[in-house]
This record gives sequence, C-alpha cells and structure tokens, in this order.
Amino acid sequence: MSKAMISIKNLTTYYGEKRILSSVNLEITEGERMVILGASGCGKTTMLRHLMGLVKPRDGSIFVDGTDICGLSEDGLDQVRLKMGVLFQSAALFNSMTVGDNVAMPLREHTSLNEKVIQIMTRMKLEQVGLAGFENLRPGELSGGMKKRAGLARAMAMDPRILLFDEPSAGLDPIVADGIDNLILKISKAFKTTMVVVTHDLKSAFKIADRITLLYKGEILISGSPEELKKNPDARIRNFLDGRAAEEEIDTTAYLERLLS
Amino acid sequence: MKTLTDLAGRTGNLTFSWLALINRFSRFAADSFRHTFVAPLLGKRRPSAGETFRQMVVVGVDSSPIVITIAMFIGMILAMQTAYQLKKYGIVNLVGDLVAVSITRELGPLITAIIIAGRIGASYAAEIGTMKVAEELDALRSMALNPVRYLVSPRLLAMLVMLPCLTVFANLTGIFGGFIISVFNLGLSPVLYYNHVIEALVLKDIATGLMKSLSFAGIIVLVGCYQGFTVENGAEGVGRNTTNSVVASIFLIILADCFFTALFYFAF
Repeated sequence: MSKAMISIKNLTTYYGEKRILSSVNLEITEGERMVILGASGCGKTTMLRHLMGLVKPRDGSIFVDGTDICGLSEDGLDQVRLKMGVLFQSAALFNSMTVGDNVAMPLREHTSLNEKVIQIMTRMKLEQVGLAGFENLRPGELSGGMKKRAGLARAMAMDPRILLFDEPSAGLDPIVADGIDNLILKISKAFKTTMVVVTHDLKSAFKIADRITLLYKGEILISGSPEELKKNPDARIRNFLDGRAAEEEIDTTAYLERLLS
Repeated sequence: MKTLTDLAGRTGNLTFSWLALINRFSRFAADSFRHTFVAPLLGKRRPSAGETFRQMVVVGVDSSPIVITIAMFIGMILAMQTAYQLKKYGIVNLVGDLVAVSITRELGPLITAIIIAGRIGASYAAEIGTMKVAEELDALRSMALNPVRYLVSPRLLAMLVMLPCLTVFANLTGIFGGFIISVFNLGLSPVLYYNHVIEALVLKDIATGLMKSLSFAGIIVLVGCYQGFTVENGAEGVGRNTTNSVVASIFLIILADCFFTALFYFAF
C-alpha cells in the first residue's frame, strides 16, 4: 500500500514573470486521500493542472504511477490521463449533452463496449453518486450539488486509479458540501482510489484527509496528518487554521517606490 | 524625438503581435489538418462520423433555406441591374448570360460563404469559447480527448462537404431569380433565357466557383474555431471573439476570393 502513486519533485512554475510554485516536493501514496489546502492564489489549482499535464512546468518533474509526465508528448499524456478522473470546480459537464451522455462519453470514446453495456455502466455510475434516474436531464437543469455529483460520475466512468478534485465544495451550501464530502469518503472506501483534493474549505479538508498539505505562496508549509497540522505551532499555519488573514508586513521603501514610479 | 521613438516602438510592437498571431493561427490550422486528414491515414483515431454528420445537418440542411432565399434575390437584383444597362444597347436578351456567369463564378460562392460565416462561423466561436470558459476544453483534455480532433475535425469535414453543396444551390436559385425578372418583367421567353444560360456557361465557370468555396469553407471553420479556442476573460471575451470571427472570416474570404480570381484570370 505504500507505493507512491504520484510524486512531485522540485516543481517550479511561473505565470509570465510571477512565480506560482517554487520547488514543490510531494509524494502521494496509493489509495491515499491527500488534501491540498491553501488560500486563493497560492498555486493549488495550478498544481492540479500540472498533475493532469494541462500545463508544462518550468522546472521539476511529476511521476504518475512511475511515468514522468513532464517530458511526455500529448499522445503519451493521454495514456496517463486514462488512469485519472477529474472533477472540475464548475463540474465542466458538456452542456450540449444529457447527463447520461456525459457519463457515457469516455466509455464511448475509449472503449469498444456495445451500447447496451455502456448504458448499464452509466446507470451504475449515476447510482453510485446518488443520481439514479437523472440520465435524461440536461446539465442546465441540475442544481450545483447535483452537477458536482454528475461530474464525479463522469470522472469515475473509466474506473480511474486516481481521482482529482478541484474545490469540490466551492459554491455549495454547507449541507450539500457535506454530502459531497461523504460521497468522496464512500468512494475512497469502496474503490481504494488515490485522491487529490484541492480546497480552501477547512471543515471538508479535515473531514476527508488522510494527509493535508498546506500551500502558502507557492511553497509547502507543512505536509502531514490532520492531527499534526492542528498541533503545529507555526504562526502562518495557525493563522490559516484559525481563519485569520496574515498581517502584511509593510515595506516602506517599496511602498514609496510604487507610489512614485 | 520622443514621439518619433514612440512611433517606431509602437510600429514594432504592432508588427510583432501580428506576426505572432499569424504564427499561432497557422500552427492551429496545421494542427487541424493533421488531426483531420493525416492522423487517420497513420492509423490514429479518426474524427467521429456521427458528430461529422450532425455538423453537416447544421451547416447544410439547416442553412439551405436562408442561402436559397438570399441567392434568389441576388439573382433578381443582378438581372434588373444588368437589364438597366443592356437596354441602352438593345441587347436585353443577354441578361441570362450575364446573370449565369457572374453568379457561378463570383456571387454564388461569395454570398454563400458570407452567410455561413455569419451563421455558422460565429456560432463555432461562441460555442467553443463558452466551452473554454466553462472548463469544458480542459475536461476534454483530462479525459484524453484532443479538443482539436474532437471539435474542429468534424466541423472542418462537414463544412468542406456542405459549403460547395450550398453553393450549387445558390447558383441554381440565383439563376432562377434572374429567370423570374427576365420572363415576367423584361418579357423574354423562358426558352430564350434557358438557352442563353446554357450557352454562356462553361464547366470552368462552375468549377472555379466551387474551388473558391472549398477555400472559403476552410477559412470559416478555422477562423471560427480559433477564435473560440483563444477566448479569455469570460463572457465578455466570448462576445468579442465571436464578433472578431465574423470580421476576420469575411476579410479573409474576400482576400482569398481576390487571390483565386486573379489566379484563374491570369494563369488559366
């Protein structure tokens, strides 16, 4: 069980001139639920996009199931992506298709199963996320929480070994968000999928996580179990966990330079 | 002095940004052709037949009423305008020749392309742009589906087949529009008009028109999809790129038209 499913080595990325991630090192073992926690703009979504191979890093490497994805061509990346399922922040369902077709799409595109089998598998996936009977609705007719569930059903369509979640509780009320958290736990228990959850929601982070990695301005402050995090005395960690905005240090010279430039 | 260097700087920046745009667009076009025509030959995945067919219905069947109607009016207008001039020389019976040749060589392909650029090219930009804003393009890539193969290839194939077909319809109804004016207003006999049309047209007129429409088809799809893929800044960006797609398509269509007309006029 202790095999590293994802390992990130010295990942450094820039957006234009601005450094987003600096020398991030992280190992995620098989079957683990890893929560990447951080304030908006700390680079956590960028990190997730790197894991999918949507962007290439300036420096460093990412191993997914033993393959370095940073040097891969688009075709090679597609092979790795088949092992992953992704739930996007907005669920990213295809609005032109029904919910059922959304879930069936990866199966239709990547397998040669016959339509009858695909229909049954689609219903099974929707059943697993609690959306049985919704396959003929359009994404526009679903509520926020249901969209996320449908997005999760689509992410699970190919039975991936890794599931990535981008802010699963964003835009949902606390009760619906808690339902999604329960669903994530249920799926983790049932399928032993490796999960990487990016979030800024403390409550859901502590509920889901085996381990939590706290990102702060593109650097990892701490990576450990929820208990380790709670015990850590570091002021920046305490500030984040208590929901306090960090006191900004005022650099007077820089301030004057900005005003006069 | 400062204004002079400013001017030079701005001209330089503008030149570079245009060159960069041309570079990005050509790479996108090359990528689209590779995924549509080359990759299937190399045994890689081919564009979905079902989606291509669906796009053909949207481009061809759904657009034919508007194309047919407009082409008929263009034919009528052309007949009246030429009759006005031909009357002075007493050769009104040549209306059929003029209408047939100008429609098939020029106006049929051009008007069809402009209608489709507005109707379909704009919808490609808006549709793909909205998908980009809603993370759907990232979702496609994360599902190991190439957005160019999945979205552009079926549209390109559909347009390359259907735009020439629509042009044929436009040619026919345009000539029929001329027929209506000639028979009911100018008092020519239907047989006379028909004979003049058949006598005046040679295969080259129709063929060059259809060749033009093939190039217009490529322009409409590539510009529309490119504008969709490059949407930024949410809904506002979708609106801006949709407008850009129509303006850029029409500009490039006219440019290509001028190029091909010159080619056929001087070289063949």
